[in-house]
Formats: sequence, structure tokens, C-alpha cells
Amino acid sequence: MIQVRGLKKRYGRTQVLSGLDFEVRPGEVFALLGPNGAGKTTTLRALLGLIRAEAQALSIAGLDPRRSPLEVRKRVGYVTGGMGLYERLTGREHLIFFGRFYDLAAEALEARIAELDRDFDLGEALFRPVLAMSSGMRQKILVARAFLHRPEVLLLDEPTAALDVFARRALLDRVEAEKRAGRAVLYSTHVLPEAEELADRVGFLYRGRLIFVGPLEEAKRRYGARTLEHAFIQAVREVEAGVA
Amino acid sequence: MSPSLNVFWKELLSFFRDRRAVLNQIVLPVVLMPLFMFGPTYLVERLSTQAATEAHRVAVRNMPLGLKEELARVGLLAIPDPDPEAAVREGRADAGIVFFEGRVTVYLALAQGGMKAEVLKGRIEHALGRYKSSLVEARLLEAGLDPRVLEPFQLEFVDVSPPEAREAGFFGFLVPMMLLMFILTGAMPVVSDATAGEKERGTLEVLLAVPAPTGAILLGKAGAAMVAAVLSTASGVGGLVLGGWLLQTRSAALPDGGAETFSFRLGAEALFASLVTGVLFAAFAVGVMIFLGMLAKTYREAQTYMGFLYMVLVLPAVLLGMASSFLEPNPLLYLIPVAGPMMLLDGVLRAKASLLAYVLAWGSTLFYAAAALFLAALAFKREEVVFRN
Repeated sequence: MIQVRGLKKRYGRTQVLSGLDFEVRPGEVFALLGPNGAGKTTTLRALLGLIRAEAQALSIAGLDPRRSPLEVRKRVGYVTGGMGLYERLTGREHLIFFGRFYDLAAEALEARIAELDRDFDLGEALFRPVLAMSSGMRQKILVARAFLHRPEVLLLDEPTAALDVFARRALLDRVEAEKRAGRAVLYSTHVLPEAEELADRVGFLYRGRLIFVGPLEEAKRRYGARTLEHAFIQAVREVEAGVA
Repeated sequence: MSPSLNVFWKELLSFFRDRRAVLNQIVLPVVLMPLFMFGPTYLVERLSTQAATEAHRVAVRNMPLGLKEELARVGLLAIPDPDPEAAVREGRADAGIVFFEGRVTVYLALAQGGMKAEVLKGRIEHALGRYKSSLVEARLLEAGLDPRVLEPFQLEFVDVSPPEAREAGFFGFLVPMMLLMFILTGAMPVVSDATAGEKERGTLEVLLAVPAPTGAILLGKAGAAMVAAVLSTASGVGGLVLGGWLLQTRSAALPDGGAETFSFRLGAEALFASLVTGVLFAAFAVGVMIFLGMLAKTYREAQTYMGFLYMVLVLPAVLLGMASSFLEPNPLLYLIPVAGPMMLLDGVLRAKASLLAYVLAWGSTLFYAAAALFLAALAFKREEVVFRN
């Protein structure tokens, strides 16, 4: 569903991504793990065609975002870590505003909003302006917005960054459900316990390089670690030692 | 709904829900303009009327026959005094007059008295003038001459400007500058919010990740900013017209009239020409503002850039507004950004804009607007600019 081969990105003299290779299959959560500045967000932006990047192969749902960015975006649900909502619009107005970009007719959009209301328990959040919403309500709208057009692929960039414990739990459960529904989920985070709970496979991204790609259990085994966090730290140490 | 219209709808909805912005951009101009125009004029007029009818004591030495009556006609009480200058200094009188060997000296505390002393000075001048005329007339008659000998012709000035130019009235020269200022201030908050504001909130990335061309998103934003600019301008010009009407009503009731001075009417042609010029200039200003807004990382930073742009555009415009009637009509001036539309508006209001002026000013402004929007589009597409934070 997502294929990345030799993804490179440079900003001036800084090589931000150095030839990334990974794939995400349908019904799979792939966790892209790394500290801040490792290149996770840049990778997601390249997949959406928001930035120009070099790659031998880059595709989402069979489409190259460099050639057909708009077609790719129609098939992707994107959630960013920031709040990313318009303060003076209500939740419902957000869904209408974003729904119109996906060519949803008025009745279909209304029906979809009602469906999302049931699925995500949007309730009050639909009618309140963002300024008057709790952080939990805001996150519900953000996530509902990403699912509005029934995307085949989910790109989640630090999705729990601004969440309280309840909203975070609800989001993780939703990702599980989407995985079971057969969607491909690329989950970018630096919160490793979340990845440990959700991911089928993981990629350790460090200074723009994928230093490990493989199943979760293999990562722990290879680095002799009890948890994914320990495995990641060990992987980074080995790279640093190698460099030294 | 097309992506552009969708973004346009969202931007305007956000703008109209921002009470502070609506109050500043749309409500205040229509309320404050008349207050600023009418308030000071009304106050000065009231005080002047009061000062013109107030009874004052005038100390006079060597008072000639007939002067007392002339002074009394303008509400001044003449009191004989051996030293009028001292009387004024010591506050025994408001003014002093000394007649000595064919010379008349008037004493007034002008620097201390301000406008009130100036009004008193005018009243004394008026009384002395009438007294002087009566003396001249009496002496001419004594010499067997007709007093009309001193007035071989009567002087009259007739304004031959077209009616449209006269209808633009006193405030006509202000309109081009006002239009420019309101367009800039009207678009600023919308553009700042739609560019740097979106970056700061993190909504720009989400918006750019929808399946819509960047150009369509930019167009929607530019359209909303132009509507806000035009509404703010309409509100400002509406305030100007309302203020002019108030002044006109007030001055019509005064004995010396002056109602025409404060009139402000625009014919259909001038209104249409002003609207087209305003919209073209708004497109240019919005393009430049979007470009600057995209360079900023935060709303506040964008406001700083816009403030600088405002100064850069308004200062030459003010100078041009002051000098416009002295400038030789050089067609090349219409090609200068900002100056061109301002000069055209000035010409439209004075009913002296030529076809060439329209073609050059509209054509060049359209070109600059397209260039500015192109620059804005480039900024929107540059990832270094969009994702810089």
C-alpha cells in the first residue's frame, strides 16, 4: 500500500533523509520511530507530495505523489501532531469544509458526518467553535476529519502529542480498529510505548537514516532488549559506536 | 463547490466571526469618520460663534466720533482710557485702540488669547474698516466726488469645473488616499490570519494536504482578503459621505452658507471607475501582503511586515495627494504602482481623467496585481517558506 525505496531529501547542506527503504502493507501498522528532528515529518510530507524529494520508488495506493499528489491525497487520511483547527469554526463546519475538497455531495457529506458522530462520539464538538472545545473534543474532530473520505491509507504524525489520557486511549483504539478494517497505517511517533502497543513492524529513524526495519519482536530480539524503547536506544548506541 | 470558493467561504466565515476585526475594519470607519470630520468642525464653529457674539471691553484713547457706534455694532463696548496698552496688559480691557496723528494702533494679547483673541481681532478690524469706509465716503462727498469712483469694477470668480468635479467637493481630494488606506487596513488582518496565522496554528499544512491545487487555495484566500478590503473601504467612504452630509447640513444653517464646501457626491461613472480602480489596487495589495505573510512565521511577525508595507505605500501616497494638483500631467506617472491608481482616482473625482489615464493606470495595476499574486503563489509553493517555523 505504501512503498518507499531510496527516499532522499536535502535542505541546503543538510541531508535530512538518506535513502529510506520501507513498505506498509494493507491491514498493518508500521511505526516510524525516532527522536525529534530525525526526519519523520519530512518523510510523511514527501509521501503526501507536500515537499519535493528524490526516490527510486515512492508510491501510495499505487500512485506516485511526485506525479499525482492530488490523487494521492484523495486516498490518504492525515493527522498532524499540532491542533491544526480553525478557532472560529465549529466541528461540523470543519467537517463540511474539508469534506468539500473530497467531492462529497451535500447529502453524502451530511450522512458521513452523522456516521462519524456515531463512530467517534462527536456530540457537542460538532456544534462548538474550536475556541470553546476541550482538547479531547478537538482531537475527536481532527481524527474524524482524517476519516471523512474513507481513506485507504492513514498517515499519523505524532497524533497523540496534544492529547489527554482519555483522548489518547480513544485514538489508539481507533488505530487498532482501522488496522483490523484492512487499512495501511503509517504511525510516526517518538513515544515508543505507543508503537509497542500498536505496531506490527517498526522502522528506527535516526539522523535521516533507517537503522532498523522489521517486525517488532525481531527488533527486541536483535538488540537483546525487553522493550522497544530499550531496543531503539541500543540501536542508536551501536550506530554511534560504529561512527566513532 | 470549487476548492477556491470553499476556501473563500471559510476565510470570510472566520473573518465575520472575529468580532474585533469586524469592529475595527467595518463598524468603526463608518462611525469614526463622521465623528472625526464633524466633531472638531462643530466644536470650533460653536466656540467661534460664541466668541463672535461675546461682549468685550475695548479701551480707546482719542476716540473719534462715530467709532463707538461701529464698535457697538459688533458687540464691543468702547471705554475711553488714557493708556489702552496698559489696560490690556492689566486685564482691565480685552483690547485697546490708540488714535494718534493719523495712525491707529490696536493692542491685543494675541499670543496668549489664541483663537478667541483672533476672533476679537477680526471684530475690531471689521468695525475699523466700516468706520474707515464711512470717513472716505464723507470726504469724497465733501470733495464733490461719487464714492463709486473708488470701485471702478466689481470682482467675481466663477468656477467652470464640470459639475462632477464640484460635486466631489472639499473631501474629493481625500478620497484617493482614504481608499488606499482602507484597502490596506481592511485586507491586513485577513491576510495575516490566512497566511502566517495558519502557519502558526498548524492548519496550513493540513490545508495543503487536501486534494486541491495550491493555486486554488491561494485564490480563495486572496478573494476573501479582497472582499474584506472592499467592505472596509466601503465603510470608510460611507463614513466620509455621512460626515460630509452632517457638515453640509450644519453649514447650510449658517448665515455664510458653505454647504457646497462639505458636499460629497459621486456620479455613477465616477463610482464605477473608483470601484474598478479600488478592486485592482486591492488585488495588487493583497498579492504583496500574501507574499509577505507567507514569509512570516507568526501572525505578529506578519503584522510587523504589513505595518512596514503600509508606511512604504501610504507615505508617498500622502505626498502625492498633496502635490497632485501641481504636477504636470505626465502619462508615465500612471505606470507607477500605487501612484497610478491614486492619480487616476484624483482625475476621476475632478472629472479630468483621460482615456489614456484609464488605460495606463488600470493596465499597469492589473499587471502589478498579477505579478504580486504570482509572487504570492511562488511563496505558497516553496516548501522552505511554507514549512519554515
